[in-house]
Amino acid sequence: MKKKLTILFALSGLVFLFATCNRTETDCCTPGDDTGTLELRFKGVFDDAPLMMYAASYPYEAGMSLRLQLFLFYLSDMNLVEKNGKSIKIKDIEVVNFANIQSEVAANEGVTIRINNVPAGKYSALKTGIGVSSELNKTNPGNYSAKHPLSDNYWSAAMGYIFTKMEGNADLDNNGSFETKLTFHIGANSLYRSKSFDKELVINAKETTQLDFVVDLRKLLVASEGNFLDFRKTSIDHTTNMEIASFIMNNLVNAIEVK
Amino acid sequence: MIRVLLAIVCWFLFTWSIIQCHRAPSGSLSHIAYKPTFVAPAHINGVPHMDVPSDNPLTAEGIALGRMLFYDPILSADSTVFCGNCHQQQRAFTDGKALSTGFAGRKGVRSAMSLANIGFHHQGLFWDGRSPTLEAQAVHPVQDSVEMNLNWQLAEQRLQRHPVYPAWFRRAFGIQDSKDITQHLVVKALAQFQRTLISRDAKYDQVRRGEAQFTEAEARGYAIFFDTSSELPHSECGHCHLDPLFTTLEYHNNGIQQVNNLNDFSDKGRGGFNGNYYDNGKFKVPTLRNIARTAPYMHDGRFKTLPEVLDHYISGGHFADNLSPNVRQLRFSERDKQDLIAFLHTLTDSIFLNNPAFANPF
Repeated sequence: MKKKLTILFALSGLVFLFATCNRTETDCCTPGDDTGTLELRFKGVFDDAPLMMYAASYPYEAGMSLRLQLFLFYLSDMNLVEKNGKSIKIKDIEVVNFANIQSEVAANEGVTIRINNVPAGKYSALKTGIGVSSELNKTNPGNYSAKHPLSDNYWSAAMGYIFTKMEGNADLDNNGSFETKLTFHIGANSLYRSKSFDKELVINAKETTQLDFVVDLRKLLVASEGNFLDFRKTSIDHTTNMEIASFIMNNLVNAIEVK
Repeated sequence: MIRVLLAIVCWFLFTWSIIQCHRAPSGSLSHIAYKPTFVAPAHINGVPHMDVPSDNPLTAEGIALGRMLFYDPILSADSTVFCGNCHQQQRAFTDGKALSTGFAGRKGVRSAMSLANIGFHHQGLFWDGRSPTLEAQAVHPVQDSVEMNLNWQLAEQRLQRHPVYPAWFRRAFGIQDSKDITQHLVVKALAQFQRTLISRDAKYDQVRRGEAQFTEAEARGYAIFFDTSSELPHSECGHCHLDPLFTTLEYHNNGIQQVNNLNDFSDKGRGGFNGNYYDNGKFKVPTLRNIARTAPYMHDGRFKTLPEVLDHYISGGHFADNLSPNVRQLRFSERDKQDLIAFLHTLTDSIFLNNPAFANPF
């Protein structure tokens, strides 16, 4: 009996040892130990002024003025690029939403996107799609949880996501009356854009690295002197006029810059 | 060795039974089996997954208990008012009144909201979004002096002393004793029942599934509603009343009240809850599912009919700094209006309105 008990204890000990060994091995290799966090901080501006929803009006082209209520855009397939050109995907999709930026304090803080488990290393650029990639644009909010970036901004009649939304009001005569309503909802696979933001970047394990961007809404609306979205002619577009939709998406690429 | 082991086991069982005997008061429920039947939350194509709290999974027993509580006036001070008074199934869980009536005929300040697909509402409940979950929401009406006016402590005592409820709570939540019935469990049960109130079988849904076809008027109304045709006027409805829920769950000022500045709203809505000046006069976008059954309309029930609602939106609404830019003047013919209303009638879900699982069990 004693012998059997001794064998049993010995076996239990071995099993315990194996279990412990396995656990230690797993712990050492879980994402997190050799990864860090990347925070992308987007500060909105309109020219030099901080971008705020509701709380500010901005002088615009041809004697008009503008107020914002909503501005958002999607980023897809975000990759960090190593110096040797190798890309590492860090995020499928994120939405940069300025809806709650309604004060100077909030504008200074900007919109922050936190990406965890980014492999530690030295990188030379962040490459991202602007809009929703065609792969993800095949999906719909029913594929996601309520907190997922793609749980919203879906246009079911068009069976696709709205890549960028800008809503607000314009004062066409500069008389203080912002009664012209503005709605621009742009999105279609052909309007998907990409951009590489060149920036030396080091991600250290278990540390947070911040990358700052400036998003100038004026650049979304004004491509060059005299070439702007004229609210006297157009105050609404649901990607029905492809000329306007392309104008906005092309401008959006230029409106986002890394600091 | 075996004798020693047996002795240890016997001693343990004996001690355990003594402890249990001393712990179990007269309301002990441990003789009733606790075998909850877990139920998967419903899914609607195109809608993000239902957010069910991990500490309140749906069970057949919890849903059944929640249904009983929903229709039982035991949760009101004078045992006359129950949830189903203001949330009537035949009216898509509204009450047909501009302002709801509660305890002792007292009038509320807002209209009862529909509960259709309420389990998917993840951006706040009530017109001002003040409750983040169905569990948190259910706390309010019971203790609200205008609604059911019952102190929660008293509500708990009533349920603890009830001849039937303790066993139901045992089956739903595994409580050991009737004294374990708390507000916490009551709201959990109510939330479970409400998460089953799914509306996804209207003619609109059948058309989307290829099981039915719109009439010409309905199809025209659909195109106007969702701005899908360059030949027809756009209504901009779909921005806020996005399918399949027919609400984005957001908060907007839809221009129903004339104000000089945003502090002048008689009911500040969302802003009254969160203190954000720019949210004054904003209210939660209600679902349009079963809209033909949920008159009168708006948070204060000011519009009695759907044509009145359309006339408001056609006017472009009263301007304010936070008026939704998607509420804009429309040019509709009489036919456009009729067709839009024909489409809205396709959102009536008679299966939902008559589902016996949602009906008063008493």
